[in-house]
Amino acid sequence: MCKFYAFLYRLIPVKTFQSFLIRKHFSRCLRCEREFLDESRVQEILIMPKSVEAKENVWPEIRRRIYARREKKSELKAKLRFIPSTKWKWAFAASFFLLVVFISVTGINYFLLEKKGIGNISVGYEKNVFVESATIQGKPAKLYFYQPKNRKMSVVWVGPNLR
Amino acid sequence: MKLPLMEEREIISRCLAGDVDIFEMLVKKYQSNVIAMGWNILGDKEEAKDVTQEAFIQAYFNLHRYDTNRNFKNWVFSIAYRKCLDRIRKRKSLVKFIQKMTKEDKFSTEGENRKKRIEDSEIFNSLLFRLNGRERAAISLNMNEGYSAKEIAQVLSCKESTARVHLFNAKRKLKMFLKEKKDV
Repeated sequence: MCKFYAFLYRLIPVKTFQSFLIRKHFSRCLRCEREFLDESRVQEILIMPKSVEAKENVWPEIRRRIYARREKKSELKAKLRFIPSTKWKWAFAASFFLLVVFISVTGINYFLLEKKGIGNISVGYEKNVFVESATIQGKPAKLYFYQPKNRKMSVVWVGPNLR
Repeated sequence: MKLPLMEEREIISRCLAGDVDIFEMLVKKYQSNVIAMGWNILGDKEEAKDVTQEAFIQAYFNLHRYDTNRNFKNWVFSIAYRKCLDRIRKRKSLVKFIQKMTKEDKFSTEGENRKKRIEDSEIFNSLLFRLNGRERAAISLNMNEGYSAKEIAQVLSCKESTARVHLFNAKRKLKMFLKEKKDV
């Protein structure tokens, strides 16, 4: 084998480069070819298809396993018959997903409002404020008290009593 | 038994229609080639037969995905080749496990026996097993089936250039080992 090319082959172990060397040199160079492996010797080492005995028939076992798997599949299909079709599965999955999104968004919103400290709204009564009477156009009105969190103030507003 | 391409397609379409027994024709036609390739890669006849069975069964259940423009033999070869690599991987982890167990002196008698059995098998004694799985597959396909680098690449699912390198390395290494053996 040409020493220079053999050296290059070992020096740069990049597959594309090695392939290039094989194509451009090793498979063309008569010297390398002559020195290269005698194919008949390789065939002595290898198991050839003709050396696989004719009695080695894998078909009966393949057939048995194919039928067993098919039977198993059909049994499974029969069991799964009550499970809705793919279309319904998708609809169910989508509605479940939307429900999860809705619950999480509402939960997050509630949590944020609590954290921000928007405060409590009570109807008709607030312990620090007392309103003697409230009327709108001579009719008794409804009172709303708003107590923001961490603030020393109360907001009172009046609305018509619809009852 | 010689099956023209048209007949192969016909058999496949009948299999797809639910006829299992017609698949026998394809199995009988290619089984010795697939067993030989598996045997060359795994070094064990029984394992090669198992792989062949698994490959044909997988092929049967995936016939609806088979591209009829592709060579059926190549397709089965590529399935069998992947199964062989899986087996080699499992075998390596088994050997590692046994080594670990024997080092730790747990189950030592059984572990050592299994290790010895693996080492004594033809896998470790064969010259072919100085090559890695890809190189063994490449040389087996080239010598047994007369496959070119392009066809080997299809089976090995790699680039043509990579297949060429695997084949060349396999031949180079074998030459080296044969020379060593001769010298000894």
